[in-house]
Amino acid sequence: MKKIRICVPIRHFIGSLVMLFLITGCSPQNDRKQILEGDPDNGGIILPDGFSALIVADSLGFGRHLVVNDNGDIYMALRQLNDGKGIVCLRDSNGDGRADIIQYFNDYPGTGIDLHKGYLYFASDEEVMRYTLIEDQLLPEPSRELIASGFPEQNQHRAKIITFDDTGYMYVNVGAPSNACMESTRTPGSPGMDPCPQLERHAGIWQFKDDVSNQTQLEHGYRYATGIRNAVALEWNHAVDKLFLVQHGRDQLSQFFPALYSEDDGVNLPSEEFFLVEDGSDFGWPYCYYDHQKGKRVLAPEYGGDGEITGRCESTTDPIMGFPAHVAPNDLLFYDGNMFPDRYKNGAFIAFHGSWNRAPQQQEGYYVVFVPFKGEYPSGEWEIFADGFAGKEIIMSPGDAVHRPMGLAQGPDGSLYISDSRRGKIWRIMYHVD
Amino acid sequence: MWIKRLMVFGIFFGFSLYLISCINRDPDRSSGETDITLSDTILSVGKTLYETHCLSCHQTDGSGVPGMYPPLTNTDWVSGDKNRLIETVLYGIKGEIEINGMIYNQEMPPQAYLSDHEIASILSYIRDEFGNGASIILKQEVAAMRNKNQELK
Repeated sequence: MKKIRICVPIRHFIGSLVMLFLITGCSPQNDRKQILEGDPDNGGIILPDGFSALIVADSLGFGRHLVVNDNGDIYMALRQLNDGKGIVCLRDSNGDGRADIIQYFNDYPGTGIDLHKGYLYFASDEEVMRYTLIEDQLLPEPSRELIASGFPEQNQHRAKIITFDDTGYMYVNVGAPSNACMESTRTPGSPGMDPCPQLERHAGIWQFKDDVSNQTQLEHGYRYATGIRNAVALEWNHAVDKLFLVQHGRDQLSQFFPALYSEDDGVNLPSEEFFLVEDGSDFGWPYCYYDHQKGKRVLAPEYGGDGEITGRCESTTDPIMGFPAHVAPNDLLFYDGNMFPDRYKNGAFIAFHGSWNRAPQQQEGYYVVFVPFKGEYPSGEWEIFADGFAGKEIIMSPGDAVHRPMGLAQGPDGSLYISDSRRGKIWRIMYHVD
Repeated sequence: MWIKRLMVFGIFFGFSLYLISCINRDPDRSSGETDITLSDTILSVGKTLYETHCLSCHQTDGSGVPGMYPPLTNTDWVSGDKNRLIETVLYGIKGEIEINGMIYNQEMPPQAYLSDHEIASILSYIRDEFGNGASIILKQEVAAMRNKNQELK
């Protein structure tokens, strides 16, 4: 029997070839990069040149925030139970980009959802809980571990939003239970409570340990920042190690104070504000709002303001950027993937759910914008990145919109995922190098 | 004596017919211009008041805001029981309600600062508009609900 002898360098070469084949051939990410193309109509949305989109799944329920695991599995929170469950889990088992395994999980509806340290964290309107992920399985362990609770009951702005830093802390948005802390809620001419008692337990960001069970807001929560009306778009930026959020600004200036504000004022004021949040930041709600046309924060009419006076608002922290009024920022994502062109790296994507309180005038928003960043600050103007979700050009009432962009997530290959609150659609946006 | 009774009955019967004609308003009808003017006035006043006090949440077309503020279309909250509707406006509403498969859980503030006439006009407008086609509400009906609840206090 003749022995085939292969010299050592050639053996190493063959070995390397086999390894290379295994690495490239078995990596689904690489396959996707080459194979996946967007839908011919980009799933009905409009994107910049070079980008395409496909519909991952549709009709999943009323979608809220979503997150994508390293293996491509998607978890989306639902604002209303679907078949008794509040999280929808999706898997694409054949690599065509479309979810072919869809399972529902968890008994609570909610908004906040994230993956952290091998757990699926989920925030109902009352509590933050987590579930242990099981390797290779789509559904996590069914038993839930309560992380934070004891938040006050509220109707307005009750969605809890979560994000995590790299040093063991979780941040939770507790929205204001009112529009502007009026003595009589949303009543024309009612003065604001002064001081506003709602600031003690609401209208701020609370910090908790990320891996300790059964924490409560009163006992363990630390008020990290205050004067924030509601932050559905809340995100830790790991590149600069800071917390950022985009606030839902106050409503109904002209409806409640017609002598001070015209209908146009009510439509165009105040700005939706983009905040860089430091420990101890105070952004002025309910006493103040930001007038982006004047470039300053002014005193609210509930507290003696007339649209000009700044008063106590001078000591509050300015936003890093202002957006048009009432467009409803509902998610924020700092892009750190490698698929999109370099200018998108570490920049911010913001999903604007779209306005309701510009009525009777035309509504605004219903798009996803991009803000380029350098370090901690925007390095250019904001621009519309994805549009056309509403399915029609002129939206007079939110009910006219076929879809509304709600949540944002980044996939392991750098794709951007967008959820829809109206019909539960998920888009996956990719960039193609020719 | 019987003449007096007949007169009282006649006046009462005539007034009832007049009210019924207002309630069952048909804009395409060629006769009864006085009736149309009365209900049209109520509805036009109601529309203006709706725009000032209700439109920002419930929207120009009454479609509301999905998941936030309920629609005023295709729901018996508007076209059904008048008293429940009047009380909703007078005293507001809290807690979860479900309309056409969607859950709403925002607080509607009380609008008791509006007069009986204003509330009646707004409610007549929303019951007539948005494809609802329900009967109008009189200010006496609003007053009755307001008084009933004041007596309870």
